[in-house]
Parts: sequence; C-alpha cells; structure tokens
Amino acid sequence: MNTAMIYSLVAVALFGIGLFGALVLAHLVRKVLALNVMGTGVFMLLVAMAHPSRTQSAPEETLPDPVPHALVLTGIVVAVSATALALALICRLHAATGRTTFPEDRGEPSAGEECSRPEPDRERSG
Amino acid sequence: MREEFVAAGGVENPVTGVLLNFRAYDTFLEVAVLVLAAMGVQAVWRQDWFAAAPLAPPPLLVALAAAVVPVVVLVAGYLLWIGADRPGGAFQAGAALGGGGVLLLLAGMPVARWFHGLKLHFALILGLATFAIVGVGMIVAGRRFLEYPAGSAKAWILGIEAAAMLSVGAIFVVLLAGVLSGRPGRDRQ
Repeated sequence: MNTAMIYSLVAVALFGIGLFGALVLAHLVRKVLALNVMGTGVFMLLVAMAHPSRTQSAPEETLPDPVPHALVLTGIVVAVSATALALALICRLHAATGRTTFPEDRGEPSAGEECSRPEPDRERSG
Repeated sequence: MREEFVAAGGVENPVTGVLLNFRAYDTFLEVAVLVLAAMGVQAVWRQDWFAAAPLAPPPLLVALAAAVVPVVVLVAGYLLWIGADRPGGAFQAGAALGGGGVLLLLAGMPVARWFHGLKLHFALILGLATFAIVGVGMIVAGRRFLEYPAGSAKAWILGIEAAAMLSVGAIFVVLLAGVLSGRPGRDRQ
C-alpha cells in the first residue's frame, strides 16, 4: 500500500461522500457543496495518478507527472466558475419563488409531473 | 528528462509549461468556460453597480479595503511573474485580483462603480481574445494553432498570462460579487 494507493482510496471515499450528499441533502446550497466535494475527490484521484510512487523505478528522485497537475488546475478553475453559476441560479430561484429546495424534496409534484398530469374531465360539469 | 521538458516548454515550472505550452488549447477552452460562466451569471442576475449602494459599509471594512487592495495587486503581479518558475501563473493571480475586486465592491469604493458597461465587457473578453488572436496568428505565421516559436516561448506565455490574469480577475468579480450588487433579471412574459 504505497502513498498513491492511499490517496486514491481517500479520493474515492470523498467522491462517495459527495455523491451521497448531492442526492440526499435537500437544501440547494448543500447540494452544490456536496458536488464540490465530489470534484475534490476527482482532483485528488488525478493527483494520486501523478504521484511518482506509482512507478516502481527510482522513487526518490522522480518528480511527479505534470500533466495531471495541469488537468487539476484547469478542473479547479472550472469547478469554481460552475459553483458560482450554480449559486447565482439559486439566488435567482430564491428571488423568484422564495424557496431553496426542489419541489421533489418538499413532497410536492415536480414540474414534469405537473405538465404531464392529464387534464381534469370538463364534460361532466358542462 | 526534466531538462528536456523544461527546454521544450520554455519555462522552468513543468506544470506551467504543460498548461500554457503543450496543452495551451485546454487552457484556452478553460478561459472560454470562465467567460461562459460570467455570461451566465450576468444573464441570470443583472449587475448594476450604480444601484448597489444599499447600506453604508462599515468604516473598518473601508479601511481594510484601502490597506489591503494595493497589496493584493502586488501579490497578483508577483504570482503572475513567478508562475514561470514556481507554482503560480495567470489563474492564481487572477483569483487574487478577483478577491481584491470583491473587497472593493463590498467596501463601496467609488472605483468599483467606474468599472461597468463597456469597460467591464472589454475586461471580461480580453484574455480569451488574446488567446485566440495569438493562436490564429500562429496559424497565419505558418505554424499550428497556439504553437509558439521555439526561442521566445516564455515571452508569448507571459503575454497571454498577463491578459488572462486581468480577464480572470474581472470574471471572478462578476462571478462572486455580481449577485451582491445586482438585482434579478427581468422575467420574460
């Protein structure tokens, strides 16, 4: 069990925790935070892939692979901008409806179910 | 092996070499994603810096902003320059600038109100435009897209990074503080 393997296992655990949170938590901001935790798990996995202990040859003086590090840097920037956009959308939803949860998490029918519900029978009253 | 990498990349830091030279196309698309996110936030939440003077900001915050923001600008410039040798570069410097800009907005500084409209849009698009112009210019000069001339790679990288730093700073201000100072966009009827 070398260093890279430990990092990878922790990364997978982070991803699992984030996925659980994204599905289970009701408040939208908490969902966004859970998605960020998932992203952090993915980045950690990428950095673990770059760790020099993955190759068995000359582990002391080998430097880490720079390409996954560059991918992680790009990923962090994209995750930050996506989080900012998600938070702006949540603010807009709150300004428009006053809610910060999805209808499904409140027990109400979702927008899709509302649209596909069959029309009430009008001929009976006419 | 590291010496060949550094010589081929043109900069000392191998990660910067990968980001800005070998995989410059990925960084170009990353800046495009940032611009898209800024456009998304502006579409959803209109920024009207002038209308954003709701409460008198606390005097301590104003003093903090006046003291910290020049240091932030210095730090951003340092991060940009040191990115060639150590961890740093355009996005880290842009993030520092964005933080300084948000602090200016929160403190209600008049300089934040100057930065709106056409000037804001120009700053948002500057990094992406520089990247695209350099890339297409390389095609016009007979190379491939974003393939720098061998000797002067560091100069090209630094030029693109400087434009990207300004752009990323403006984008982060829009992303982070746009919601603070705007009002919801109009609903279409």
